[in-house]
Amino acid sequence: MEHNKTSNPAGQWLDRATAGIRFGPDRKAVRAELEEHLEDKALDFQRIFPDLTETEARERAAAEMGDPEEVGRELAKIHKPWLGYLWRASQVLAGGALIWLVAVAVPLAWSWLNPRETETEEPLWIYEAEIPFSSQGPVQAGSYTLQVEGVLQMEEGHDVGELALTWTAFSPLVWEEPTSHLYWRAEDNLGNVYFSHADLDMAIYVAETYRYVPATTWERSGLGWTGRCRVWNVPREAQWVRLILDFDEEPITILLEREEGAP
Amino acid sequence: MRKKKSLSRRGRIGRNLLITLLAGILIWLLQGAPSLTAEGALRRIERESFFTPHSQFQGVLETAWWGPWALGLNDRWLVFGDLGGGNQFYLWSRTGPEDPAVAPQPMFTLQNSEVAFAAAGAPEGTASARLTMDISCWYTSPWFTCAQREQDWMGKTPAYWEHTYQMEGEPLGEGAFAFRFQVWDPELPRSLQDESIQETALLAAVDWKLYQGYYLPQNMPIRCHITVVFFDQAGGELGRAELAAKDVSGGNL
Repeated sequence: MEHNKTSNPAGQWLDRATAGIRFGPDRKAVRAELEEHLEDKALDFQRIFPDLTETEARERAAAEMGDPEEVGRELAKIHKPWLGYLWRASQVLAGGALIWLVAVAVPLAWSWLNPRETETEEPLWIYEAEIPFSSQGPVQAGSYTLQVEGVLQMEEGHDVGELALTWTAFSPLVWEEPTSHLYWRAEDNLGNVYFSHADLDMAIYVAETYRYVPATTWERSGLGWTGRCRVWNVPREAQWVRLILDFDEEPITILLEREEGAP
Repeated sequence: MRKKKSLSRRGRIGRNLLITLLAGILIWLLQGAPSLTAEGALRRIERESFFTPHSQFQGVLETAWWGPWALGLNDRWLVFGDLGGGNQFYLWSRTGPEDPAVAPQPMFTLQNSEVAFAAAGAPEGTASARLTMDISCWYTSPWFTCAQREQDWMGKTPAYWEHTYQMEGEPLGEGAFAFRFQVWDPELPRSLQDESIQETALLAAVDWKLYQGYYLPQNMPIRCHITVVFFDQAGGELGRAELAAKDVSGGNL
């Protein structure tokens, strides 16, 4: 039962005793507890003195409970408001964080549960030949372990084709996503040079040969990444293609060799 | 009936803070664990680009339209790592491991209200830096520069324009400076801007192709020479970095 500013003496006693508690919820809780004591005392008085009315019993009980100002001072000392405000703030923080978490997690969970169907690349035409190229083994590129395989796709009647590359990249820092890698270039055993995407950005004249390595696009694949890229205009006779990333004095190279017995 | 044991207020505060902390960590992980500092973000972009050895962080270059770029420097490269979420990574080659480098911002559009250059690798003791840009071109309209001054260009006789800009560098903290040029007034609507050859020339001056590439002469030929001088506290020169547009016009510029 809630008593706001009341006119009855017991209610007034409770108001005065709890006035010094500045944190509202504490004031309310302490008031309820004191009121319970007061009711118990009033009932005791009524049992001992059956002639007392309920109001009289409550008045006597309040008088028994002491000076409300003094009780109030003691209660205010115990119930420091900052602890209450801190508790409220921590509730707001935790609530906000949980709402934010749900807002972030639900769309992610939705996308995991309903994965976008991988677009299967419908070939625009039937290739006259698909020549497999494979690399010698995994290569370390910084914190990533790379493995690349390729297929040289030859169009009918053409002496150059596209080497379609599939990369797998894995880093112990699984949350990190490889960039589009504009700086891979390539060369082959015939002495051809394949410009990097960054080179092509700078060189309109490269269009003459148009041998180049475009940017790689990456997709999450388990804890690692799968990337797709092409080396454009690789001659049919190429026996190997070497991918090169020369940021450092020691460039990272990946040798792709035509598989034995390949056409 | 046993009374349900409840936590003290301090206990509840601790529990709530723990929930907040755990939720915060989960949110951070779910969002790809983004780096909390520009230097950390640069390291991450370098790792994601397989770039080694890592560069030394130089500061953050804020650019109009694209956003901030983290600058790094190693012996061979001035690194631009995209802090705007675009996951871009660009390299500007240095002339030598000890040489300071000056480079334009990596990305721009014709809508850029401002263009920026960065100078990094300032000599020890540098207190300030000044950029001087000499820029000139022949043109037939605000949007059309041309190489052949003596020839008519689409029935028009080219006019000559030249200008020297000077700009004090804005220190970026770790030995780098930024230089920003207003291309047009960002307060005014685009339709009220005076399209001028200055705008065209400044936009051409931040195009990396002008310095590193094979610019077709008839595409956007301008002559541009940039010098950044580094000064000590007393105003004495400590070093300089230069950058010049490739002249592919056959001497017609």
